[in-house]
Amino acid sequence: MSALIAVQNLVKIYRAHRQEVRAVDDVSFEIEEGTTFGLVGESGSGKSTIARCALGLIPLNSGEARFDGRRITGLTERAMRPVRAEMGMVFQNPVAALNPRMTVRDSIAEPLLTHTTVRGRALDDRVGQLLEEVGLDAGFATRLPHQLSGGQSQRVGIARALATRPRLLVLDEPTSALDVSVQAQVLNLLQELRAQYGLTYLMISHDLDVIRYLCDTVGVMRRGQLVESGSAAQVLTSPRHEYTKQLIDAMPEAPGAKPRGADTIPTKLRRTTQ
Amino acid sequence: MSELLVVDDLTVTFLERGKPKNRPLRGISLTIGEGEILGVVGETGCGKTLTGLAVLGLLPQGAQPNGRIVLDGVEQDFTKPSADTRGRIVSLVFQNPGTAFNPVFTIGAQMRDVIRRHRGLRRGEAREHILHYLAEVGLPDPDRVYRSFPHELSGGMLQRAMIAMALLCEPRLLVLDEPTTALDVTIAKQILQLIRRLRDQFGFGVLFITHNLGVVNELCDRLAVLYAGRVVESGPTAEVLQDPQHPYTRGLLNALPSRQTPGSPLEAIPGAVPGNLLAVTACAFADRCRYAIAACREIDPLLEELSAGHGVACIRAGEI
Amino acid sequence: MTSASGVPPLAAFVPLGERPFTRIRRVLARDPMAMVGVAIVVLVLVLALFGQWIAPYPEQGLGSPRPSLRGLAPGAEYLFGTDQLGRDVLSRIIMGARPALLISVFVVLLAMVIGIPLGAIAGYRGGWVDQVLMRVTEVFQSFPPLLLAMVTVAILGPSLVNAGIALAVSWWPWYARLVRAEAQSLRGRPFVEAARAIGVPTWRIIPRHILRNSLTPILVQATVDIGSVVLAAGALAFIGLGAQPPEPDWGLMVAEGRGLIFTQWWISTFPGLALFVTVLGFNLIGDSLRDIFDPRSVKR
Repeated sequence: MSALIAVQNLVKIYRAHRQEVRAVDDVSFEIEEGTTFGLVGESGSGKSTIARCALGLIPLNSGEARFDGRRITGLTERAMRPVRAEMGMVFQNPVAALNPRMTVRDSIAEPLLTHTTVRGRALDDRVGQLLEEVGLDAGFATRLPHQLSGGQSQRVGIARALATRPRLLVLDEPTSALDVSVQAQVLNLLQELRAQYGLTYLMISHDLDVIRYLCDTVGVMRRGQLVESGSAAQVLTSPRHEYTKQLIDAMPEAPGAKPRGADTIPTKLRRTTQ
Repeated sequence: MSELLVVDDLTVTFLERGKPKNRPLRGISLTIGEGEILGVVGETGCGKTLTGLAVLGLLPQGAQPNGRIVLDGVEQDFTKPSADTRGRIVSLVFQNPGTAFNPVFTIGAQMRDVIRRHRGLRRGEAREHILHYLAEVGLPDPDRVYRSFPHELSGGMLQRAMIAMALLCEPRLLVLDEPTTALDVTIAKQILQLIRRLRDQFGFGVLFITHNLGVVNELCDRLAVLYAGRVVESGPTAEVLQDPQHPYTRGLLNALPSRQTPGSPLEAIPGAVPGNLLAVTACAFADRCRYAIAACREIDPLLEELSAGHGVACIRAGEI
Repeated sequence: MTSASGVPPLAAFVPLGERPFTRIRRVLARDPMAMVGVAIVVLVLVLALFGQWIAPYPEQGLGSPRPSLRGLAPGAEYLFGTDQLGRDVLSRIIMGARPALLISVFVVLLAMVIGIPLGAIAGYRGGWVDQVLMRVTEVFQSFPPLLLAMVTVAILGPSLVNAGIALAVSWWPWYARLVRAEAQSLRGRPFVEAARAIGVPTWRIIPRHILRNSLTPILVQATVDIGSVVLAAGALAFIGLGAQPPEPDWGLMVAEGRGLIFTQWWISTFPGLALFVTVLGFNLIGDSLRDIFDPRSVKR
């Protein structure tokens, strides 16, 4: 296995009021194909900025990002376009990530219109197929974002990210705006898609429980620096860095009871449409 | 323990042009004793915030309340919400401290407005009083905070200032609406500790609105689980969380990723909260409930005591 | 802040998210001033479309003189009286509605065609592109509109169409600035970032994501502007730089009667009123549309 995405010595500096803020300060990491890497940290720690640098959405001050061995730092938008077909991004605020004036169909079709020559009937079929993959029925195609719940919007966002059959999904706090019961639906969906398509995830979250649940490896961000990284089990159970310990201590203690009646989980529970 | 707040069968109907459009609260009943912290939990749209607003007498226009709210022994009049009650007896802390303050006035000026309105103190006295409370909430340099504008303080400091403002008139009951949700975990933890310390010190009751069961577990003496505008389970925190009786409470707990080993699927609650509750005549959770039987779609269960202080609104409570 | 919850703020109780058209209908029905505006605008539109069949003396409306009937006071036969050349003032006002509206729509459309793309590109791209485009815009904005119009007309010669071009030249910067502000706020929105992450090219992001979401403020502005341009075109005609006699132009008619305002007041007064009422009508609708779309002024 080789690294699907690798960033090296990323530096991103913002200038505000004549002050320099090192939003990302010399960060390096690699994500093996087919694994999930979680970036955890508090607000302003630079984790979202890293994701955008890694995708080439914002320019870097120094360092480089490689996707599947190809250097993508400094590429023009046109040269970058074919690489974008292999990446998808899912956003924190699922409703705001959809154009309020575009139907679900148009939103999901956008990557296909951009990267493929699929049009007409075939395009509609593909959109329907993607909706089904994320557990929504085809009737959703004609809806507008304000007619969707948060969970449904996020499913649409995932369908859009999957449209061009990417290899990498960047998940920017994909469940932090959702209620726990819906969060569980979305996390299940993400797990299933990962297994089905061998996807690689870069997951950004402030929620250690979500990170622990979904990620193989973890990086802990603080003030632009990656203070600790390693396997999820190791970092979250026996943290080495003082800050990681603080984060873990601060998490409210989850209610103690063992899951009750979790033995018989209907496998199709997540195909919830209404 | 005497009851500080009694909410009895509170129903709120939204009217549009005189016609009922939705009924977000369908008979909420809860009590808070002196010095007690009650957690009100539930998902988006279950009526948590609206319950808090009703207690404060701040229901939005077009909302028609029914039922009873008794605050500190005084029955509240829905038709004439009293600004006097607000602040003196019950006070509010918002979710987002960044937007709860007016950006063009200093913290001190905004707090002065509150206290002069309710207490009629002179400027110098008011300042002393405010500095005292800013120190109480653990702000290191009260004088500087007093002179600061909201944008000059961090989120955690603002939330402390917000709590100090809520305490100014020495209220008997504090309504906290997701006070830690917008904060980072390390800061949130400090705020929770602060709330507990102040409660021990001043003895006020707290209505703590949150969607986070972990926070409830850490902070609250009792909790009330809301679903679709009704309390479906309530009782002592440890008892309810250790041995949840309502299928919805169980579902919420089982959906937590912290309770599941990585890799195995989470037990999600299928479906979503019903949007309009006007037409609900049976158990509102039945469509999402794995234990639902035919009777669940006919009977609208009311909150009944299963054991002392532990109420459940489910016809199958005890047998599942 | 990272940890937003699924909890709606208090504002969530305000019914937003309806389809705009439903909202327009609902708010119009409750807002009596908007209804007055709609009534006025519908009246002006009907006059513009069917003027020649409504006007009692259409041929006089178009300008043929009737010397024997000069300066008759308003009466049963000539409701608004007759002018210095004996033409029925009412007919001329009715016949004047069409050119007034046509020139207005022409000016606003031309201003939109120039201003909207420039504003969208400046706002979306930012940086030096924005700087250059906005400096150009400011150059046009720094001249008083009437002066700019006079210069243009002086170069092209006085006529209604040239007056229209002149007005569009001073009008488009407002659209550029409006759309630029919209584009600036939209370009940071998550759905625009999503489009960029997908790799949608700029030339497609601007119409699909930026302009489509700026339509409502543009619509509001255009509605108010149609009224304002009627007035501005009238002003140009008044000083002799717009419509030329014998065209039935309201501004021109005010000018023709201005020397006789104390003796034959009806010649100037009625066309002036027509201008006033038309501007009022479009402004009332514009204000109401603004109330509908601006969340800060939601009346419940």
